[in-house]
Amino acid sequence: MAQTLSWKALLAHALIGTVLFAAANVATYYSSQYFQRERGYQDEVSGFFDRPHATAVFAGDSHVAQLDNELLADTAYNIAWGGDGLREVYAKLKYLAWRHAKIDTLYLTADPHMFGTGRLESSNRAFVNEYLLETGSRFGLEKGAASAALGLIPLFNDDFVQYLKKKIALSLKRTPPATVRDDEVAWQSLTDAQREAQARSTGEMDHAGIGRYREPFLWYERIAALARARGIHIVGVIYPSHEAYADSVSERQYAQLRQFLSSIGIDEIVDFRHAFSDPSYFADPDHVSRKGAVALLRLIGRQTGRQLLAADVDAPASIAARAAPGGNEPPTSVRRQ
Amino acid sequence: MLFHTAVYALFLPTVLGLYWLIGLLRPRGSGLQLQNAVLLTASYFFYGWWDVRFLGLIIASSVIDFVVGLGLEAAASPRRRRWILGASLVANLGILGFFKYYNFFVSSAVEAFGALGIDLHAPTLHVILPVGLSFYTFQSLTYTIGVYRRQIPAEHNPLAFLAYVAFFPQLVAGPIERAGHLLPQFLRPRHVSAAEFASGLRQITWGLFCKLVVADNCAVVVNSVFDHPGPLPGSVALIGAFFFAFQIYCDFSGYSHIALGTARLFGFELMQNFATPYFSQSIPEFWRRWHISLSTWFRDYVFIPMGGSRVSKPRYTFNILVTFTVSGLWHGANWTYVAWGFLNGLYYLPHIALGKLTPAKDAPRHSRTPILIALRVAVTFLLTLIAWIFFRAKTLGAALGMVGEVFSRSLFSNPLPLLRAAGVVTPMAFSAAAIALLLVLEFIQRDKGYALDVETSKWPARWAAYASVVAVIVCFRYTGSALDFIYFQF
Repeated sequence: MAQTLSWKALLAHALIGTVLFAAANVATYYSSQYFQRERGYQDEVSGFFDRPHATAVFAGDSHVAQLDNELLADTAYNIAWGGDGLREVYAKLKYLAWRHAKIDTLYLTADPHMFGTGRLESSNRAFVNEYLLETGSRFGLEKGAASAALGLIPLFNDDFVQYLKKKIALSLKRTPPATVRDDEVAWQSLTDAQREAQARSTGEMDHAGIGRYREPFLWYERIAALARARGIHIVGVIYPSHEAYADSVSERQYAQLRQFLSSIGIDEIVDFRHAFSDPSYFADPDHVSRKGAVALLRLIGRQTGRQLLAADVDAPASIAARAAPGGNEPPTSVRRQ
Repeated sequence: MLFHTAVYALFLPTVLGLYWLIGLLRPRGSGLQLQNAVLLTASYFFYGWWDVRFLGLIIASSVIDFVVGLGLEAAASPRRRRWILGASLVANLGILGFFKYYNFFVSSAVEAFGALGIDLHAPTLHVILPVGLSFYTFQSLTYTIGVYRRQIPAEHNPLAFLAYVAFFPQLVAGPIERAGHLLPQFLRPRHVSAAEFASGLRQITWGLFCKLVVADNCAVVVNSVFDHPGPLPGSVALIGAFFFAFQIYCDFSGYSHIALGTARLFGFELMQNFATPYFSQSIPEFWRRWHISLSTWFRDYVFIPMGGSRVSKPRYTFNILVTFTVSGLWHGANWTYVAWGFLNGLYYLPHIALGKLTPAKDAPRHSRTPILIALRVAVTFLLTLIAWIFFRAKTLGAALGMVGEVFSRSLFSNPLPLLRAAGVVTPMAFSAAAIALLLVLEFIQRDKGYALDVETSKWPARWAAYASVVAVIVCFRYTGSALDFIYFQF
């Protein structure tokens, strides 16, 4: 082994290496779509503090995220994001609580699919590590705090690497870029039979494994405990969906889940699963359209005695005015997953 | 604590900083003792991270061998020395046997008697196998046997001895060091040059590449093939075996590289454990280049004491078969490992019969043409592939079924539909690219201890190599939950 390298030279090399690595991290953070998405995600959460009068919070996954913040009254805010699981919901609420957010009501998703296999691991899981670390959470960092902290460095972030590998694989397969499709138009243009078939298969897929895993139950318990400690009232919301989608869960299962939620203090559950039958209220089998969102907010508000819909959209005409020309809706579906 | 986790990334610099701080403040005498104390504490912390109960076992084993060493030194009569050594062997192998083989032998005996129509009801116990037990037991045995043979003196410094047995870089998966090589390094001041330190970091980086990029990506394909519930066509079985060959190689050699690199940061030199084994041109050569520390252990402590090769051919054959079979059993309490060892022993037999055990580099010039070399490498690799099926399969029946398929017409069936259904085509592509990169780098650097040993290259090539390997680790590493090193279970 050559002995020409001095400690000084080695330190200089290490410094250069570190600077290059840091530069690569900065470049990655600002150029990658993954981190753009992360920033969007976190902006959505911190947006709560830009709405000083907000005391009601909506939380959940894409079903909830359809209730766009611009539709909501000043007293309400939606932190839901497509793909969120209950761990992510917990992390965001914990963060808001940690930053002394004055929340009195939490509209928490009580959709059965939150108990299913598909929601055990979220594609947004790395986005909330920062919240869990910042708030010193005892839960949610299964790989340990050190690992989560390391993941805050872009090139050490496992989820980013997964995203990158997937992107490389897709580009190697030369898959044509996905065409932008308006889900709502597509959904409405289907026949009843087609809608029913699609709703049934989506429902079966989304609801696979309900009640089989302990984790969702634990997360609901933790969310309930967190809310209780902060004096927050929880309203469980079951979101509207196509009948065939909702019916892929048996009444017995609904009753069992409701019983569980009640046992942890979530007594008030508003069930809208069969609220709409008109296809124009839906963007797909299990996501409401903008029209559906407005109607739903009105329904939830009425049922829970609270004005949730923004005053300027509380009229059908203004809904139409807000819609993009040609029937295209503003990008509510961006957050859908 | 795994080498490729964030916890270890905190643990290593902390221990290293403390260790060298002591070395700087107290370069002589008590400084050495303090450094050994830091190493011992760190090693026990490292080992206890898995399960604090394991610590009792390693401390007991170390204390027994330390006392045995002193006893062997004090005893004058050969008979007494034999008894003391016997006590050490019984204690060490007894612990190993109980924790690793109790259930295996009990259930095997029950099955054997059952086949003879005799019903036995022997209790099996829920025994947790402490990680690395086989490794430190064998390492500890090199000490007592060395003292017994008067090859090394008995150690009087308990701190140095305990640190030698528990030295964390190689504690759980080797290399299995000889006391004569490693123990003296705990007794003299350690110095590390900047070049050696840099070399340690390079070897760790290479080890991480092997583990995170090659081994763990291959694991996705391998698990999917070997955990498949029904029978598989030969083509898929062979693909599974191919990726397993690189998974186990890179998993284990990756660990060894990290161990060697880490030890070098502390001023220790460990023995090389792998020397590009898949470029071997024969099975004997493969075993000179694969898991060298274990192969030489079995050679020195099992094969040679049985008579080695300086006996009649039938006896030589017997010695080889026994050595390989025992070596298979060392890997795990399952008949699949026994079969794997025995099969490797069988592979040796043609070489014994033909008397061709010389290294390939000494072969006659006419047999050293590139085509013949490539052919021999390919045949050797294929033989190891078949053996790896036994190593990886869950049961002997499953292994035999897979090997049967490999030698059937289903070898020529299209594997893609099955692999696509299992969702492993993309991981397979990444793994294959990683393997190709590994082989190219290893071939270029085949005379070096590890492929990233580019110290003597010009700086642009050196930095390009570092940047490329780090970029590949960052971008293509396996990102699921951290996978244990395979050899930890042994």
